[in-house]
Amino acid sequence: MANYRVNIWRQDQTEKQGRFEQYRVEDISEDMSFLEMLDVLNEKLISDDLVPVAFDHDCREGICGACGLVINGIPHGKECGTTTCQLYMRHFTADTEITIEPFRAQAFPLIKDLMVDRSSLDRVLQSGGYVSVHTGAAADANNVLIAKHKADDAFTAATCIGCGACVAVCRNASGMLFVAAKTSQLALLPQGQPERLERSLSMVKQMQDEGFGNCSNHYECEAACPKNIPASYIAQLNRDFLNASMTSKEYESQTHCKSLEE
Amino acid sequence: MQKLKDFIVSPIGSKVIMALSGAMILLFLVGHALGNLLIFRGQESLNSYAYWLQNSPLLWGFRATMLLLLMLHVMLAVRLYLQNKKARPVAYAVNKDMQLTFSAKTMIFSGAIIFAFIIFHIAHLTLGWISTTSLEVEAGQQMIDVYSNVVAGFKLPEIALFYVISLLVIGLHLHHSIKSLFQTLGFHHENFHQMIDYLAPAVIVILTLVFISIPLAVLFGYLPLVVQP
Ligand code: HEM
Ligand code: FES
Repeated sequence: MANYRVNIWRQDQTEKQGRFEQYRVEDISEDMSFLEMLDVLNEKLISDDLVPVAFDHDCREGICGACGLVINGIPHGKECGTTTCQLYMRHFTADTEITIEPFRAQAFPLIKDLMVDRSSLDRVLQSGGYVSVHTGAAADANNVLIAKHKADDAFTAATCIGCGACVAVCRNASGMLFVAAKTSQLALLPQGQPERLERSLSMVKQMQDEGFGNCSNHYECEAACPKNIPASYIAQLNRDFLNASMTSKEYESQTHCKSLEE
Repeated sequence: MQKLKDFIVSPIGSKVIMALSGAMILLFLVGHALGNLLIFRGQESLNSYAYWLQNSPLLWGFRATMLLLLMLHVMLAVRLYLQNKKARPVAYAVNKDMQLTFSAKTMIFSGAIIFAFIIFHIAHLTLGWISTTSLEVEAGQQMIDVYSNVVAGFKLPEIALFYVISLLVIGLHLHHSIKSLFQTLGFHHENFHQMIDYLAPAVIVILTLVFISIPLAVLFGYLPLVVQP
């Protein structure tokens, strides 16, 4: 059982300015998750007739991407490859101070305390559009051949849970690792080819319009990613974007049929 | 034209143009460093090399290209920097870097120092606003005595020091740049990166040493100021 002093960012939607409040949390078991520690704090705040701390969470098993706190300066804390809900109190030395901040980005407006609105990520995803697929009777298994390593690489990209830690950790609040994961999971598969180039153009455009920053190749995103998605996927996105900029719809405006003047 | 504009202002397009312009400036730096080494062969060698350059029919085309590349690089750098600041309006109270290197987080500052240095350097040794000694050549033509300008300049410790510091800052800028430019252009393969990891530091160290050797050599008296008869 351990005690901690936690500094938590408190801010109501109606307030322009937030502030840190320090709380003492006591008798925390090392087997509690970080969110359970906050549950303990909230129980206490409620019993003291105070307003509990608002934070996002849902599955609490590291797969939904809802949780996300900046813990001592690192989104999801300093443990490698974990979400906040899968971070355990045994990783924190007893009687120390823990500072908890919300994800900070122009594209993530604050809702309350530690909760931010990440629907900009959903809009980026939607801007990618549809994937052309066969309808009708189900195709035979293995009708479309995919090399094992390609399937694995696409799967690595597809493990992105859209939590936004890459944005939160980036000095530029760039969403490039998110966009790279979401374009690559399709770009690496045969099924993703028909709209591949246009998809990279429209998703990058939407990222820009949502107010995310640009990538300066710092690679803090891959270090913070709870799914350990490497920054090499950003190089893949850069290639596709470059290719798309040069070749997408290249014949569209090039009909040279002109009637001859009399 | 609209498509080109969209590309240039897009997050990836801007970086691609920065990477290409930076790479071309880097190639120029390599050539410039090699040319400068002629100073160690003496006054004659450097001056006739400078004379050859200044009378090259390509001189102005080359200067215009370099200026264009630099302006593109700087304008996009400032634009990206401002956008990136705007994307994080509220700063964190606690900041912790994981893989972020010093060179990477100071790119805009190293860039600003380099920019100031380039202006000073052109005023000093290209336009000769700071010191000029001229030497007659056969055809009665004036030939700028580049060697004496350089040596006279670097005899002043404050000028030599400013050059040395600026050149180290260029090395710092390149430390992040060389790795970064390949990522921006889409090259990020294990085999390939192992090569860059060895090659990039070697290029940076050699380039910086070659540049710095000149002010240091003058400062420590290895390159004498020869008075023309
Ligand atoms: C000696 C001249 C210079 C060379 C060789 C050079 C080279 C480069 C290269 C190769 C990059 C990497 C681009 C990429 O990430 O893909 C870069 C980035 C950068 N350069 Fe320069 N540069 C020079 C001068 C300048 C100047 C004068 C500035 C003025 C502000 C500047 C500001 C920047 C910034 C801010 C970045 C990082 C952009 C980002 O990733 O967000 N550079 N430079
Ligand atoms: S609560 Fe679902 S990933 Fe953490």
